[in-house]
Amino acid sequence: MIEATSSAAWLAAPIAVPLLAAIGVALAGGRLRAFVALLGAIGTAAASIFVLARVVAEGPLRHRLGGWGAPLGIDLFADGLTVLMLAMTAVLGCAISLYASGYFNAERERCCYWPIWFVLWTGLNALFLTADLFNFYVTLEVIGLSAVALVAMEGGPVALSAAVRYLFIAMLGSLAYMGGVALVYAQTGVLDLALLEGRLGDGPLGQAALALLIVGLLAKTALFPLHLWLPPAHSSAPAPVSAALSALVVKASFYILLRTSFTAFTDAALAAVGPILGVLGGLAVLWGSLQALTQDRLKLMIAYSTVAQIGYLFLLFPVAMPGAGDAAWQSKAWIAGIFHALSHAAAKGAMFMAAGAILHAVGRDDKNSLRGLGERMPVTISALAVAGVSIMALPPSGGFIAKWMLLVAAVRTDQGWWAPLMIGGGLLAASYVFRMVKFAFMQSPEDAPMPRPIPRRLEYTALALALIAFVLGLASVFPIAVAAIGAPFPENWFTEAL
Amino acid sequence: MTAMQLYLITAVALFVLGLYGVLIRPHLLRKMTALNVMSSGLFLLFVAVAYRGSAEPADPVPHAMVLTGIVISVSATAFGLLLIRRVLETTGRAELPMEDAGRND
Amino acid sequence: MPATRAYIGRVQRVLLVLGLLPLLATLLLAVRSVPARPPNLANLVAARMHESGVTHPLTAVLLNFRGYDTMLEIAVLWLAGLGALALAPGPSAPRHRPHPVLAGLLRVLAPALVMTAGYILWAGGFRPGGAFQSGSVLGAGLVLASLGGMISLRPTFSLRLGLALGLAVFVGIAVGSWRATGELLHYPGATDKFSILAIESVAALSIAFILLTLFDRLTAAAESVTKPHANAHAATPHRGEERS
Repeated sequence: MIEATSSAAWLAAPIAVPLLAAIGVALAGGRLRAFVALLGAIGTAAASIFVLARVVAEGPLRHRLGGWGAPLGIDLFADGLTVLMLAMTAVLGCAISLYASGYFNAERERCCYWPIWFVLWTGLNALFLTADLFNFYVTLEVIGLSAVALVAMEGGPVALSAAVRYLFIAMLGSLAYMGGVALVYAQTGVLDLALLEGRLGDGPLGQAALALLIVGLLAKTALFPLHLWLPPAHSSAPAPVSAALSALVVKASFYILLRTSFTAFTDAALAAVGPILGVLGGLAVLWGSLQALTQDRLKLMIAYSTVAQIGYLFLLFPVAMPGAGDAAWQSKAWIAGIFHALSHAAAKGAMFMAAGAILHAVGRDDKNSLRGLGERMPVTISALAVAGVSIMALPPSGGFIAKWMLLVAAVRTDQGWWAPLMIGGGLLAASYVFRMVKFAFMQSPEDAPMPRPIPRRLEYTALALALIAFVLGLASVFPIAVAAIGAPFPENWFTEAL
Repeated sequence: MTAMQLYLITAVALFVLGLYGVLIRPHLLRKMTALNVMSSGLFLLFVAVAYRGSAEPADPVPHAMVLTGIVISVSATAFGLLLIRRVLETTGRAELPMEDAGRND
Repeated sequence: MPATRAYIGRVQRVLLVLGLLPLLATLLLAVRSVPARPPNLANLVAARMHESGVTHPLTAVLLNFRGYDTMLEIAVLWLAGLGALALAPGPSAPRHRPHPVLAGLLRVLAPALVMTAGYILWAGGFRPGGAFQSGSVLGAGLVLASLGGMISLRPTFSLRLGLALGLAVFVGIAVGSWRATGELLHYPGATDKFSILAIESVAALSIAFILLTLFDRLTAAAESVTKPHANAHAATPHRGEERS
């Protein structure tokens, strides 16, 4: 167990600030709302960056809420992985907030987007910062319910049906997860992640607990075959919500799985579960990519692309688990998965934002409406294309670095059979991205109406995120160094050159 | 079989029955009810685990978790019912659409 | 869950049952191996309860040891209320006509409800009770009043304040305690009993309002206008009337 070097109460800042912002913006009216919202976004991002800086300086940190300390109380905990997730949420959160302030004009806004969005942000940060298994459940519910509400806010029958479906899957996932927690508590009597290390054992109780936890989290992360709720939900939500869902929400449950598997699972359990997750991940890549190829609507293509990209995240499990081959490369696979989550967040956020801008301007997002937009909406289409580069995993984007690391790690740990899958997935991604984007460079029909003018910030936030995804590969040294802080692998494994 | 084991088995049975109901029933309201049955099973599981024999008071931590779970379940159920109502109002049916939910227009 | 047909074929039912049997078996095996006296935190709670400011172990866990969970849980409840307001902005006129029987009943019942709620809130410190139970009783009273046409819900500032206040006070005390003791939710010195009571009483009120909002929106009359992007002004700047 890691002793707190200082009281580190500011670990709670990324949680308290957005929560206060949510309350503030719920009480504010009219013009004041957007102002409070943007202030809240900046404040939350600042708090997250502050935590990042302190963890980089001081190493992993723990704060005992209420002064009690685990196992009696709940602890907040931050290491490299935590702060990377916080940073990802901060960047995406600011971009989405800025984007949403332009997307929802007075005509379109229904009550309560801003408070619910900030509660979602709170839930995300709270999830990343907590060290308690049951608290994970509560934060998952905060995130899940706010996500469903945001999807439903679109109001149309398609969105409402998608929201109901999402709600049911989210609740089933939460119930399965909570069942796992109950069994864990029955077996061990503790709920703190660090304390659970080695206590679960391999008996039927421990195994059932793990199975329930995993299944619940897989449903929430929309891993094949539990992905059916994702395309309708992510595509029918308003664009800033879609961006938040694909970029951040699906990563939250993935984060829990990553944490618990490398902390609480026994080596035997990890070895058993790893290949299954890898196979499902591979199927997700193939299925999602193939479905994306057949879509006619931009947002649906992007949503299926999310299904596929989530599959890549799970490919890290079989490679990172203790097993054959050069052990040092396990850590590389672990980092590759995290890196992929980061770059996918930026790229997918950018793509949904671009799609939203197109919807705003043209009113539809089917591929034929894209004709001529390369000329008329250059910033938006550039954002789409540049983000696509990261999805396709072309150098020097973040997506490329992530997949390259994973590929090499797979080969080095004697599991090279994953390689053709990854390469094939990249080719499929290129196909479905190009298939859609090419329309933007075609001539529009003579009688096509001019696209409506849209707020500049819609296009430029999309482009900014796309560029971040693109450039992430060049600046990969820093995130990798941060991830090494507190990682479940020996430190020196990270210093080997890529 | 001890009392605790009886409760544990009942809890598991409720959980699985509820899951069956959620998957089988097309009507959204019935799905929601089945979901609540699942939750009840789960809460019973927690309460059973809290039992420490007839001489000592029960472990309060699982009880606290159940209370939290109930409140969250109420929130989600209430909101879910409202969602179902809106689905009914806008689509005319209280069931999820049959076709692949991805395709529309 | 994935799309289901109106009539579930027999084959699919059988397959589903076959698929669920392994789950059932796994879980039954698991609970069979739960030890007769599972390891737990009860002793730890009992040992430190005297530091918590209350004498009931459950309240100590909920509002002190694991108070952070409770704070987030109140956020979830508030979220449901917000979601209800977002999904169904609703008409502004009272929906239920004043009902004489309910009104008469409520005239008798209301004081009893308020006193019961107050007692349950206070009693939470030394026996089962507390904010949620108390809030539910109050909420039931408000729902009855709404059904009797005595209250109509309008998304005014006072409503939004009432919904958010419970959470706001909780977060406020959490941050305030950080200023005082250096740790969040570490109630300073001898104020723990007071802090817990403050949190619980405001939370009970908010919970009552949230429950009323949820019920009210759920039973709102079907709206004639269901355009997805209908103009929905959620906030009127002036305070509205809440009692007729």
